[in-house]
Amino acid sequence: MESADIPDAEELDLVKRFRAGNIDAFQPLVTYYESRLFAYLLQMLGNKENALDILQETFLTVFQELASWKIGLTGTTGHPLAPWIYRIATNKALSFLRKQAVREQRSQSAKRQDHIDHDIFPAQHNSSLEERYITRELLRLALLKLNTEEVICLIAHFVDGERYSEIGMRLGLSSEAVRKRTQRALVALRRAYQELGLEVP
Amino acid sequence: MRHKRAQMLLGDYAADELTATEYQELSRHLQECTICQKDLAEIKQIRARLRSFTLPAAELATDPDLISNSFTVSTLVEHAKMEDADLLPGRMLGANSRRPVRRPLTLLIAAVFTLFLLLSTVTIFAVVTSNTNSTAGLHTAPTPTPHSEQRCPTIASSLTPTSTPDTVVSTPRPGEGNCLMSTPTPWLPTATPTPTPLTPTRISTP
Repeated sequence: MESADIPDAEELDLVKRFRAGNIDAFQPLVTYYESRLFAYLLQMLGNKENALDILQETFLTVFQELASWKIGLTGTTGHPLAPWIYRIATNKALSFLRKQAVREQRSQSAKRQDHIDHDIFPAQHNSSLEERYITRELLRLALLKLNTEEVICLIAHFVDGERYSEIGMRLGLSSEAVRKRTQRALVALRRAYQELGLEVP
Repeated sequence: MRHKRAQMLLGDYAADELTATEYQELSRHLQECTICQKDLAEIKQIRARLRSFTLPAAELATDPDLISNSFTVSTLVEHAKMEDADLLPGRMLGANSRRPVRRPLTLLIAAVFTLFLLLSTVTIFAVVTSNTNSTAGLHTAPTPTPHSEQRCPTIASSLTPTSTPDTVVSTPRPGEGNCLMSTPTPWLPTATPTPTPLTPTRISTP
């Protein structure tokens, strides 16, 4: 399966055709966003099972609500659906993480219930299991402190290495707005870093 | 550059997102401020850790788990028609459907609420019925039981234990016992006495 690119004008055309009753127009959107969202959710959740579940829920919501999506309120260039779809995916993933955190608190158990796939990230293969766990916890704790747009900016900038301008174009935000959200994300990350008792070697 | 402003720009400095002027000013500040040096080192450590989560989406497009669970419009349509998304039986597609999407807490709450409604309905119905029965006896006549189905106490007492309550007792022939009952008469209310008409009294004139 290849993740085909869709020019933005064509993406809007697909939306129009979908709204006119041609539900098959939804398939190219799935093909385009599937692997991108899967990667994004894997980065947030660190687990394929959870990422696939949230991906499923995301596409179902997009499918059900695409008819009422407002063109023009999200994104200015690139893929107009992207900001909206990423926000849906982020909200669902954050909701999952928060519920998971509440369950862990209630069970009063330090052990995590879900299995963290340690083999997903090639860049971590040279890290010890403990290091991978600490890094995953760092991200998880930070994500729980942030809102939807701050999370998107955190992942895009700190994980994917995107520049503020690139993130802004994708999300329909100004570079300054991205900078502010990224700064807040960094505050949350540093707070989580200190909560975990980590120190600069 | 002031320390407070320098603190705000450390993240952008590490990300190479500063203007040339800001970069030069902050660099000069860092040469003198050990706090900012330490904070910058921490920020760089955090950035290095998170970069380990980088995942190229293009490579994931061929991930076997994603492919086996790939979505089609037809199954999205099916599940969009379902009223309650919480009752999805499992992942929508693929042979690798594993963990159901049910949410046990939601189902439990729904079950408790349904039980509560049922019990409330039964209780209210019982109260209303008992109130209706207690007041009905004062004003309405019960439906007379057909003669053929009236149970003669003598016959009833002679019924064997295996007799079913719905067994219709045949009308006893004359002479059999004393249970031949006369035609049932309508029940007359006795609680409320029949008002007697007032009789006029002669007023004696002086």
